[in-house]
Amino acid sequence: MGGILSRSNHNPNVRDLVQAPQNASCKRQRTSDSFWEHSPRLIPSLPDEISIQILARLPRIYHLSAKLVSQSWKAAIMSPELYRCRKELGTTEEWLYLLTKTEGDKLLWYAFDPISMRWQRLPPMPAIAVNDEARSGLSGLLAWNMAGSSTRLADAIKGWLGRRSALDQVPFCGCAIGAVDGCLYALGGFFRAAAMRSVWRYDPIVNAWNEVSPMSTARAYCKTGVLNGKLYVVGGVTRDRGGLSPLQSAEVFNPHTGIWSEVPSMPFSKAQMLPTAFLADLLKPIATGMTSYRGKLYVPQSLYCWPFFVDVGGEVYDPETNAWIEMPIGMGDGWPARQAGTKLSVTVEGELYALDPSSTLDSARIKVYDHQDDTWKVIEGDIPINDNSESPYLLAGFLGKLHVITKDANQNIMVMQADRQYHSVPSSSTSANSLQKFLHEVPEPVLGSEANMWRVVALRSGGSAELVSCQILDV
Amino acid sequence: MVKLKSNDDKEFEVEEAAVIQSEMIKNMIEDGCATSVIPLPNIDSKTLIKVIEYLNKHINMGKAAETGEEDDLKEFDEQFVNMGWEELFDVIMAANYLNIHELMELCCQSAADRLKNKSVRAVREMLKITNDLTEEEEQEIINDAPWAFEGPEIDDTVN
Repeated sequence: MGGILSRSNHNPNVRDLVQAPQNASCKRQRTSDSFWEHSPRLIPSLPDEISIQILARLPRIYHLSAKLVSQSWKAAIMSPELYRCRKELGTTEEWLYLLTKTEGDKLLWYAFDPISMRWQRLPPMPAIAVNDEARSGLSGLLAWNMAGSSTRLADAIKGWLGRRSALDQVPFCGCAIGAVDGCLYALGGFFRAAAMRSVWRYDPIVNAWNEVSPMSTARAYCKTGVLNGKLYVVGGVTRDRGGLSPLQSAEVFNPHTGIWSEVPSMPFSKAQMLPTAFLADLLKPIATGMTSYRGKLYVPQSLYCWPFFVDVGGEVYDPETNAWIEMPIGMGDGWPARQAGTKLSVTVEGELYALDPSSTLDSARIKVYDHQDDTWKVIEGDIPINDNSESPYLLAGFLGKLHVITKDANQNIMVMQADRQYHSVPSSSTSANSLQKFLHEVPEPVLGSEANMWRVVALRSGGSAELVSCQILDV
Repeated sequence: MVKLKSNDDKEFEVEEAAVIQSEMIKNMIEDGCATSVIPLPNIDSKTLIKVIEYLNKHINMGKAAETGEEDDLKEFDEQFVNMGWEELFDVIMAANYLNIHELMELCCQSAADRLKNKSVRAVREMLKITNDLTEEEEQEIINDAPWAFEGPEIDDTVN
């Protein structure tokens, strides 16, 4: 170890120093292809392994300008080594990543740093090359639709897309978004009316999108969830025999091996209990959401016959038994549906929250699931949102608190934090995230009259952009 | 008492309770290798005085919480790292050598804090780093994220 470092030795004492017992806080395995082996030191007066401990304590918002200091700084900022060190030191920072769809259906990502209160734009998602299986275009989809199919799934999809969407033009249309192991993922989606298998990953360390192994099944509008450090996808729709059909299959991605593995398909046992073959053909089972909760994946399901969604409870995947079981009745019945059957939910500090838009037109409520009673309970404090179905709302568990992201009446994108934790069951979980103290210093107005519950922690001009998805990365 | 000797041949007596915050010396004492003076060939007396000052102040870290001396320690730490870059580097090297975890934390954090909001030019000057990026490479980084390199909050001073 000392040998490597002493090549750029300026100080005769340094060789002895670096051979001394190392600081226990950041033990690392040195590999011989270290980025600094042949380059000048990060800081001339210090061995690089100490400098890296200093850099690991530098907030991430400064990383972009730190890259400009020198070659070795640039290499260090973009090296996994630095981020391993940040994990060991506990200096990782949670940022909120927001996907928006602008005029012309362009997808744009923004990252929000809650400490500096600054937003950063991410590099655009890559333009996808047209592959051979994706040639037929929107006309194919419409033709299928006009051909008198009883399910008219395409209409539902158009409902999901919003009115202005052009299905055949936009890559990533209907892709699912997920996040695992410090990276964002865009999975599948439609391109030229065909569902895709491709998966793209954004790595904040290199600040770039790269393609990873594709899913085994082409899917659009599938649901994602993270369990035990792996990314699960279930359901969605695919193109099948010239038409679109909903999928019951599921698969799981291991970010460390880069390999997709099979997961048993959702049985959709409720759909199989339909009284007649006619109904079974008419009503298509769809996974309308997925949330990781108490070590299992909870998937609410609906039977769909355009334009109606009939909620039929849901199913739960248990990774220990590698099998699906019925969702508890109360959970399935009460899981609020949002738009076109979508069921939005998030787990924060072990509690499962869902957003219920049904109360009035200009507000929504948060429900929390009570595991013991198998019921959903409304928590106080209506969310004052301007829901005109064009701009939906998103839920996130950020800094250990529930956040709702939506647009206000002036088209601003608004990130609201639930200022208190609401527990339906006694819980010892208290978040001790040091970042929160920074948020409390922000003098933003408190919205709503009810108990000062919702606090706007970030606001940015949104224009006509629609909210698509949000994810949290802790890097 | 434990005797430490700096590389300029000055001897210092330190209470054992203070000096065992150094994992290295603690191990030496446990192994029975600290019977006489412990030579520290990498640490000069000026730096060793600083380190001993820190060790003496933090002698009863565990008790600080009970006796309400936490604020006092915090204030001491803030004052302690109020030193120039070269001196800070010397203390970091000594803390690393002696394996004093808390002191290492304190000094590395202070170094990182000093870099916040600084301009690229100021960082290079403070740390005596030579810029070896080509103009093209610089431009490429700036083009990646032009908004990161402007704004009133960026500090160009070098202290």
